[in-house]
Amino acid sequence: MLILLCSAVVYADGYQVLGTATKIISAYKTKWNGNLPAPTLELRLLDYNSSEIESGSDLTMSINTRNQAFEAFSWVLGGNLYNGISVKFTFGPMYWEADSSSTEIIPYSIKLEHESSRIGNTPIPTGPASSAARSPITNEFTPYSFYYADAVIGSGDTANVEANGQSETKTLVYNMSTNTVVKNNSGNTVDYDEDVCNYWNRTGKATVTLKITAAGQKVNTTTNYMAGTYYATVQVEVWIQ
Amino acid sequence: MFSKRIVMIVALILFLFSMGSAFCDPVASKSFNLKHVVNVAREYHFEFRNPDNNDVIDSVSLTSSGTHLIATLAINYNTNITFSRIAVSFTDLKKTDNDSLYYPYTMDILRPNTSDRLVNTTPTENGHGAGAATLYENKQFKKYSTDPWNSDELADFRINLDDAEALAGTYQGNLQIEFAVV
Repeated sequence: MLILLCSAVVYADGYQVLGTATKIISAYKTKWNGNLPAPTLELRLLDYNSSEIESGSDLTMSINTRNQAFEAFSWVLGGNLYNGISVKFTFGPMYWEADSSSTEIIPYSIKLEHESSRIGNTPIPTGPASSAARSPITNEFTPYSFYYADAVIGSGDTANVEANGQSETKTLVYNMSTNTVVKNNSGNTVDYDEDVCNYWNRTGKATVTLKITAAGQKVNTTTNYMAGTYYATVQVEVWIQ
Repeated sequence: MFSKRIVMIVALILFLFSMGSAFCDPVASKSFNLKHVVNVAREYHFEFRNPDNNDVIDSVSLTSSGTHLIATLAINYNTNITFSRIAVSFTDLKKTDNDSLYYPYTMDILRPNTSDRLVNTTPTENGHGAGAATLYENKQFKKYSTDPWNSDELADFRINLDDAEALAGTYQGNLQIEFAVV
């Protein structure tokens, strides 16, 4: 009695069965092995020499980087979250001697660009694409084939941090589930609604333009910036959407 | 099957609770500082000023005995700077046409714009007013950002001329600053 009630509601992809208890149990067993991996995510920041940036450290931009676009740092995200994650960048003013009361502030801009999505060594396209254009990828925790395509919002955006003491934020949003197509062994598209997928890596770069002339003057003026060391705090946070 | 469904539902709820804090806090976070150095030539200079009007002076003429506030020592600088030592020395006031004659005096070194003694002077042996003093050691001047140059007053110099023992005439001496930068 109890079994018949359950068989009417659970499975949207054809496992709805009317019949004996034996058939329902065998159909359920072939759907999952039940061993989904734990969700995981890792963030790494790399400097222009591809060395990892330790949290709290200084990333020095030399005199040669003044007033030009300079690829200052990059990020590597690794994880298996299938749904949306947002990467929030907060850029603080570049204060003289890190003194937030100082009026000597070097303005700068930062352009954030997504570079690649990969699963293992396999590049994953970004944006809507037909499953025929992608090779399927399987895993050990589902019976399905995944035709992966990533979705990225915010790539190419530029933050302008002015000399007004205001921080600026930019957010990139990634979502593997938006454009990925999942199919079963029969080649039929299925609705995969789990939180994890194959382990992926996503990389991007930040291009910084310091608005100080090569001679150390304020752009479009003949006013020198005061001698000293200038600091701007950059914070990167990853949130689950 | 029903019990399995309950397990699935319970497992999902547990998952959500375990990640519950993640929905309120970032799941990963790093921060660092972009750093850029601006170097201009470090410049600084000392100057003596008239205590009455702050005009820069290189000499003081006194025409009477007694106590006179003769100069304020100041420094101008364009970047943070540290001196390991700022000292002063002063010579006897010797008669210009006969350097064996002197005008005796004593020198007081005061905190700027006060009558409080800054440092004691060390008289030169066999001198008649000459002496020296260390005004500051490991003195850091921290540049604030609103002006290209900062200026600090360091000391006032007050001389006490004893008229009773001096012949009429012109007497001359030097007040000299010595310093070393870290």
